[in-house]
Amino acid sequence: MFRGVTASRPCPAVRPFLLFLCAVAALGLACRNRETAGPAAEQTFRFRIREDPPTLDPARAIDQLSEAVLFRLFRGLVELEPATMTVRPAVAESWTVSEDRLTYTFRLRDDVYFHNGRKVTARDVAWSYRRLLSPATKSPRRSILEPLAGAAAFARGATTDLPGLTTPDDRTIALRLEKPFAPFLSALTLMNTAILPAEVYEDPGEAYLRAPVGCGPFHFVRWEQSNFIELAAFDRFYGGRPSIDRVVVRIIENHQGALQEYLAGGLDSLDEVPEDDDPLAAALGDEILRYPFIGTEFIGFNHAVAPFKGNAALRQAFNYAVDKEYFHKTRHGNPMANGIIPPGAPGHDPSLPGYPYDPEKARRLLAQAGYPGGRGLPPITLWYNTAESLNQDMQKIQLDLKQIDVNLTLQSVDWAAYIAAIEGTPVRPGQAPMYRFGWSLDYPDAESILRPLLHSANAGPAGNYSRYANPRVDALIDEAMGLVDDAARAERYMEAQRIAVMEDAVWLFLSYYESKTLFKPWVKGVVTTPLGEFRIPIERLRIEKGSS
Amino acid sequence: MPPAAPPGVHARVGSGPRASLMLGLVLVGFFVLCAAAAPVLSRWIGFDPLVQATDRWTTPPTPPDRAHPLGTDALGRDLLSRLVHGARVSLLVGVAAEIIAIVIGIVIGGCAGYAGGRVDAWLMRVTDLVFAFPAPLLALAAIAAVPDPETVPLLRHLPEPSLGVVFVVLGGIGWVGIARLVRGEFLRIREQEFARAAQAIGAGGARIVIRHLLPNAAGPIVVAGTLGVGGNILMEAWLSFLGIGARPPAPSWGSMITEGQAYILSKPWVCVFPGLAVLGVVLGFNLLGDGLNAWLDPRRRHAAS
Amino acid sequence: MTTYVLRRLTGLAPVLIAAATIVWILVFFIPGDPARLMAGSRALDPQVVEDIRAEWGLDRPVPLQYLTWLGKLLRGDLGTSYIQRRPVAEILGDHFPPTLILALAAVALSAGGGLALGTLAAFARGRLPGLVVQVLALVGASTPVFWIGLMLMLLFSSRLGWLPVLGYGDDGAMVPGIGVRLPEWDHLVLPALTLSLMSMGAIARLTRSSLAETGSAEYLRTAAAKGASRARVLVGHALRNALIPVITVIGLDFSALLGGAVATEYVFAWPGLGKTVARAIALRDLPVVVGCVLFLTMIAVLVSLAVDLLYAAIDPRIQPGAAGIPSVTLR
Repeated sequence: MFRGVTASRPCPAVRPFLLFLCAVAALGLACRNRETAGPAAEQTFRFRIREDPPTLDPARAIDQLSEAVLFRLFRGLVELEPATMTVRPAVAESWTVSEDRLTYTFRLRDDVYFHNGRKVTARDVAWSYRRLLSPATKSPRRSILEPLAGAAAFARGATTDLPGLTTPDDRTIALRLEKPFAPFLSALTLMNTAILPAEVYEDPGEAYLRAPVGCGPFHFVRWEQSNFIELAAFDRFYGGRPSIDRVVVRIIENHQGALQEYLAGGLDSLDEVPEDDDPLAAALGDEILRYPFIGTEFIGFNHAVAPFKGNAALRQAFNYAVDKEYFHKTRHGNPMANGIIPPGAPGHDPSLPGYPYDPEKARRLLAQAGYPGGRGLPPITLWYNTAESLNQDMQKIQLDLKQIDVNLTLQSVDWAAYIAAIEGTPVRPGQAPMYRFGWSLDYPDAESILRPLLHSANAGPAGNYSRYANPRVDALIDEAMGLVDDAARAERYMEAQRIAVMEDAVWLFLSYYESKTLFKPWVKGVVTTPLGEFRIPIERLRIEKGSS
Repeated sequence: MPPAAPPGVHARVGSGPRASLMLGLVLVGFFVLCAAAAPVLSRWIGFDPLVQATDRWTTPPTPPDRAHPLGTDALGRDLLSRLVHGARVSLLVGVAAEIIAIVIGIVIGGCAGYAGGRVDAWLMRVTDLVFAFPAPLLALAAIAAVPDPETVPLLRHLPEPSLGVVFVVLGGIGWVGIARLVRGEFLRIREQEFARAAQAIGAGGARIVIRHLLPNAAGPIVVAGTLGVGGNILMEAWLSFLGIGARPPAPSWGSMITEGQAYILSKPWVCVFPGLAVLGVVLGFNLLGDGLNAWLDPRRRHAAS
Repeated sequence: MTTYVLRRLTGLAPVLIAAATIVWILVFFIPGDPARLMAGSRALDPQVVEDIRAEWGLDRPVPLQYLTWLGKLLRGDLGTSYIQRRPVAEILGDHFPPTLILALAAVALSAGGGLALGTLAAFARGRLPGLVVQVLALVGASTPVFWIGLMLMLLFSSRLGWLPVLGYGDDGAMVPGIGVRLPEWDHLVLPALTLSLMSMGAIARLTRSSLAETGSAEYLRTAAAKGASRARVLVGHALRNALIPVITVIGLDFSALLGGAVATEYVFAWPGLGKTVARAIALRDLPVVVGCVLFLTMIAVLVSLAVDLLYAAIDPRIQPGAAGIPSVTLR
């Protein structure tokens, strides 16, 4: 009845809707091509991290996200050359090591300045090192400096003397060790030993947590929590002012969103790539870089509880049952692990047979272990921390073990609950019978994976979550630490690895890590490094967008 | 309640309510059927939802084809079969949580409405508190508090203890609406003739509640419950999307969306189909609730729905 | 009126303390050791964890920890974040504005869209278009927020390239005086639209039924037939009535809005409060979780008070507090 009226004349009440539609359309049009190029001269490099870094205090930083920012802001005495992973001078221009391998004497550069303009002296190094060791700092990495003479008493707070640390003059610092520690120089490349200006870091209000000051190639500009961290080139960097003027570290948790942002041009680099079979990967072509990362992914067994306790055959059966090649070929493309020490670290052993996929052998070993056809096995739960990619990998392991009639329950919990379930306490083992874990080496030395993860002295929260204890392995690790000759050390590590892998099947070995990073074609000067995508030196990058 | 209709104006009766009732019934019925017959259906489809269907070197997810009408997921498992089984997870959580919510709601709302006075005031204060809580964040924390549902006394016996945690938490948060509704109905009905008459002839308190008040409140409860199931399903999907709802390998639609996310640019079906499934079943419950609202009480046909 | 507001506000304090206590207990008993997490993600010397525990007083008896916390709360101190080592109030100051802006934009969109759709549906009631609009509105309310966010991002950003993919932008204007930066407006569009869809459907439904009930639609049709000036008067009347559904849905849906905000913030990398709380739960950062939940609860209570007052303001027949909120769940 009223149809004609309503149709011929837009009813006033409809107007808001039309306005709304217009507004949406207008928004859409207005936003098109909003590519605002800044001043032509400015070079900005934008990359992504998943979450806010837990801390920007070098002494407390212990994770990749923090390091992704800290390595731009800070420098220590020595650093690792990213490509070759050899120790090279940083703030120290040279150093000597005494005959007995106990005294390290560093000579500082004369042209190093903090971002606040003050010159770096040996006193700053001494102050920073004492801060790292001090009980007040509660640094989780104070162990780096614990080889210093008198460090133990100092770290307990028993004394304020630190005889192992002296500064003969403004440009010289001498470190004396209690006993020889072969990887000491490598350990000094960790960002925790960064040199800090005391006048900033003595602040009881801890303002430096939000405005760090170092002597690295970039200085801090601002940090908008959960949004981005902005850094700018430091003009007086001793290595020369970086070509990149501005670094924007964008915080994007959702990796699919991050990928789309990269494709749309909002990021110059991304730490994740689309699955390698995608048409997209083909389209991206050279923008995808793949390179080894010194780290190992494995499933740990809890050696302190049944059924894995004292049952190497069972652990071997699990190893043979899992199709590691599937992970390599159709999941993430990471190389299969034949053992513990990844390629790139001394002690890696390509000739180690490992445990290739062999379900038949797995069934035989399962019977030998006392559980023929899986009968008699208690319920086994595999714990891992909640992550979508892990979800699929762990389900694949569950499917594979099902093939040899082993029923695995998956338990995905957040990181905090996961840590609680696997670490236990120094006396009580964790409740997780199996757990997925990944370990990346802090510096390229087998010491930094074998000792924390396998040495019986570190059972529990210190890293040996498996509570693996083999006196022969312990002895080999201890012996290698004091050796001077690198080849001889590598030999000890290989032997320790052989025992832990082939005799004891300490874990279920999965893969060695690989970094996969996207770089836009206009980013030049990329130096890939086994230390991971966040250690690629931004100060060596250039942006060359060209005129086309 | 929105203001009553001015005198002399009649709400027109259209085909809307009946159509939404029918459409809702069809959608909900479809998904209930899927859930009930999931094992039969997946046998008919030909693939177990938990078994890799593609051969070892085919790179999943594979696109829809004759063998897999909706394609396969990231591990090469048949997507249709997983979706059908996913209906079980969604409906179980949605309905179980709502039953818990209704029970808590009736008890609290009933006590408040029947007793009145002080009891009423206190119970409503509790209700207001729970209502004001940021429920989704509370759910996150509550689920995190039970990382090991296999060891929880009652939940342990469920086929999927992790789902038990989810529906208990959702039910424990979602009862506020029901409680207010029951209280409101009680207050309204109490004043009506038959309750007063029952009281007059000396019927006891419990008797009045069970014989007279509850049956009268049943209609609105069913409507609110139906709408609530939809809400619970959305919430479960969201929790699973964040990785804290159903544990793998249980094929929850929410976790299927998460897993499919990685392929959204080139293989969108892995992510699109589970999303459509959630949309379908929630839409079904919303339509059903709407329709029921109109059907159960023609006088209130267009009241807040 | 004033007495009513005062009564509601004085009743607020015990409710908030009860709420905070519940959350404190809940978070405290989530397995996972905050001291261990403060020490970082790598394996380490257990002594460091003990030192950190002592620094934060986490080694003291639980009731004492609770009372210390409560004492601080009563003095208005929300505590200090374990992980970020700065006051919770500062964290709220950083993350609440983005969430508020997102929520306001979403409410504006859903009110506009919902009113329009609902009006359309009311006019076309009983015919196919009415049903279609109604179903469309229901679809909005039935779609998982995170999923629709992914789909919108895929369509409008990646495929069409009309809008930024995600983020808050780093170039928005600063609000003078309070140190809050606005998002770049084009970054706001997709998240706000995503978040608006669920309540848009609810508002549309309520608008339709309220228009139908008051008969405004009939009036309007007649009025439109007779002349525009009469119609304009009635639109005023109709819109005022239509505001009730908008307010109802906002009041009722506040917690759903927040839940949607968490999902939206995740999908679009929005630096909001929901995401912050979710992360704090994962990190067992108890002061942040409790402080933020307390704050949000307070906001919700204030929102429901405001809703009550607005009802009364719009429709003088309703006494504040007497009307309450319609008691059907809408999610």
